[in-house]
Amino acid sequence: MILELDTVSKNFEMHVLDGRTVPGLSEVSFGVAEGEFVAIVGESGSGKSSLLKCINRTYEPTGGRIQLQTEDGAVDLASCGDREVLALRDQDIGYASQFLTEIPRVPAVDVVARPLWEQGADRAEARSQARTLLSALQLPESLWDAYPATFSGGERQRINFARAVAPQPRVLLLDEPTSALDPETRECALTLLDEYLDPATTVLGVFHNRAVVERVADRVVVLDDAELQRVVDIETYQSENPA
Amino acid sequence: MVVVDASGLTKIYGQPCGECVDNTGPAVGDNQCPVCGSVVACADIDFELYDGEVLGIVGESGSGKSSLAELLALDSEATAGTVTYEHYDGNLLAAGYQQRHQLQNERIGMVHQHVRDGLELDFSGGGNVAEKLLAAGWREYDAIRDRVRELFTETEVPVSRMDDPTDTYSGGMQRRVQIARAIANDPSLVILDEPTTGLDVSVQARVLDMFRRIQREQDVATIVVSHDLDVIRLLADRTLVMRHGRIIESGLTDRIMEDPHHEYTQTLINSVI
Amino acid sequence: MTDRQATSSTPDSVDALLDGVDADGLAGYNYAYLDEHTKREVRRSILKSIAIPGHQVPFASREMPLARGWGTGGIQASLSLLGPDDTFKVIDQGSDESVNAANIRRLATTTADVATTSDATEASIIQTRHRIPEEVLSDDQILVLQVPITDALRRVDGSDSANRRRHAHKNYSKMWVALYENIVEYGEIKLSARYPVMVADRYLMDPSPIPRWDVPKLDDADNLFLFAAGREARMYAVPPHTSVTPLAFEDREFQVERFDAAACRHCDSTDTFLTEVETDDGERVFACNDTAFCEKRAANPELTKAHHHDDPKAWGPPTDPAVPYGGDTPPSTNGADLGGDD
Repeated sequence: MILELDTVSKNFEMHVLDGRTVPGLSEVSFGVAEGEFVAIVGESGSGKSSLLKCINRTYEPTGGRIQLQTEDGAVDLASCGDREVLALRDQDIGYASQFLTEIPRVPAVDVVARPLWEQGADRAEARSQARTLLSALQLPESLWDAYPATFSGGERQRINFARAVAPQPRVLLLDEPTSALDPETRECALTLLDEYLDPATTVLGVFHNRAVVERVADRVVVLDDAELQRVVDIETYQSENPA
Repeated sequence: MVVVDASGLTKIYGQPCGECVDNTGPAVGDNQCPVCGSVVACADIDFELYDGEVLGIVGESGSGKSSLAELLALDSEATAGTVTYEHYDGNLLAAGYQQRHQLQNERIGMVHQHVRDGLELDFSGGGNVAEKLLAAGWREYDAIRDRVRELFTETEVPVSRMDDPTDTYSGGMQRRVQIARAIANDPSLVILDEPTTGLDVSVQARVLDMFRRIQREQDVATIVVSHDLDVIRLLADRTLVMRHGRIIESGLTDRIMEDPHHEYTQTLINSVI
Repeated sequence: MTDRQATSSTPDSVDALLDGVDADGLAGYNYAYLDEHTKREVRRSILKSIAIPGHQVPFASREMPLARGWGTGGIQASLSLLGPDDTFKVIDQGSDESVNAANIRRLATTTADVATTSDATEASIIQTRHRIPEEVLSDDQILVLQVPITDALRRVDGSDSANRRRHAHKNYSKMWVALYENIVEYGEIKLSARYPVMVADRYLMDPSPIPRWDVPKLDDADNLFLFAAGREARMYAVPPHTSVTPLAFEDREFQVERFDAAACRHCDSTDTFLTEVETDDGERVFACNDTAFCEKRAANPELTKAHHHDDPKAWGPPTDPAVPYGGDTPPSTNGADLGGDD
């Protein structure tokens, strides 16, 4: 198990609602083996994004443990220090939110190349790799040196996707990475995952589209109303939900 | 490696009566001591800053963030507290005038909120940057000129304007000259106090972008003080939220932005236009 | 001060009044004009100045019988030092004959009854405005320089308190920036007078408006230099054998004025500081600024600047830019032999 969630909970204390607690996740437990592709599905508001964010520590879990196996041993992402999280985000954990948050005046190619620079690659090399990825995602070459702020949703999503995938983290967290893509470009993105990523990469992805889930996932985690409903392998999921 | 370790940092203006810290702060909702009238700009500030890290300090007026920046830049004297700094033996706050100046010249760079505090307006832009080099002992004119050109290029200030008086520069250029000055001697710590306040939006992006690049390339530990959450989000790895002179919340920047815990932090995040 | 003699009746005209004054005249003053308390105060300040080379020492500058800006500081220093055994020389811009120099000399002779001379080698105390004499001074001579602005940092900051702090902490980076800006503007350091120098590697000093030509003479000299300003009420000193280094960059060195190998019209010297003069015919000619030495050279063209010393120490660069100036290099004097003096 590269990743093990043990009764992970996340509650939000909303001071604007006089301190009322809103549940995001309720005692979710499951494990992920190295190299697995796990799809996380569920209705809107069921806690899918919250789950990924807890693993990435963008949310601080209110309870439970998230054990990550690293080269230096096991780390509890739920309780470890901030600096440790930053170090892990460099190599071990990659995260793509649903939408690209722009950095002003950085061209698309540099947005994608940045995580590679930060890992130590030289600039030219990083840019070249970034271009390969953008090309694989069918982003028009004319846009590579432009600033993403005015791009369409689908274009931005592809840049976001490329950026998350580029540094090849050991665990990749994707939040609806293809929601804004048409079927053709979506297929490019998913193919990229197959071809670019190291087979040992573990992926947790939130998806709305069942076809995508069936295309990529090994196992499926189903959430309902902040709770874990069940975890099934992909064959079972397919048979449960016939087309 | 820890670059700066601050503990119990406190700055009080006036004659403290001993009860000032207890009588002020976010719980009370005020910075001024009701007993003696002293103003507690900041108190009990603890944090660590590591090599290559960017620490954001966000807060509104009266939060104490600028006072804190001034203390760390050795521009003002602390009332209490200790700061250990990798290039100084003992409490950095107790350093004498001479040592402060040496540290400010060679180890710690500060970009001030108000240009008059950071630059000599009747010197040329190049002269302002050269001053840092000269203070560090550079004595070869041509080498100084080369380094100034290099720094101007790095901070995207037109080299053709190098010899013009600084008061003829635009606000954005002046800010960038301050950054050039701050990094001139390859400091181990840079403090930015409201780096984009007062600048046009397009200029803001440029200044931040440039600084991000330099910070990543030179891996210099940085403290960014700003009331602007976007600036913090863009630059900082970790963030401290200050209110009424105290730290009320701290954590990873994205965590603070998306999962704020403290009531005030939630208000702050919810207030972004 | 002796009491004025009472007249039998009050004067009824200006002439009558002046008659009364004449009788007392300067005989009513203490030796060398200043009272003993003032002299003591000035002497103490002088000693303190010598103890801290280059550091500005305040002194209680007295009312003098001439306006501020005309050498009252230098006069107070000289008058505090002069005694009956001294010989006094006064020059202004190199000349003994200028009105100011003559007046100061007369004040000394009238109130101090002291011997005076125009020969720099015979004077024990030399008061000067804006020049150091050509002839090398010895270890029993004092040069008193008149100073208008005492603080070299005034060039970069008008605030006295800020400058005092800078001096205290040897924080002279602003002066270096001023030099940098000067080179940026002119390609070389174009400061001509009041060239900033470092004394004993500690204090930044303003050597008064002497030309750059004279600045190297301050370094490791045998004599004592005193700098005094009456209006600013400060003085400072460079004791004998103190290092005095003009501020310069390693690749933009300190340079003295050159005169394109011009020679003095009167004595033909090529190793003295020259003044450019326009004759009645509109012709531009050069003449020695140090008039007393010029006369000596006119009488004896082979005379060296250290002729009165055993050691032929050099002082001052040649006018010919082709001849390198390197501190101890003896200046050329048209091929004359610069062996030991006679």
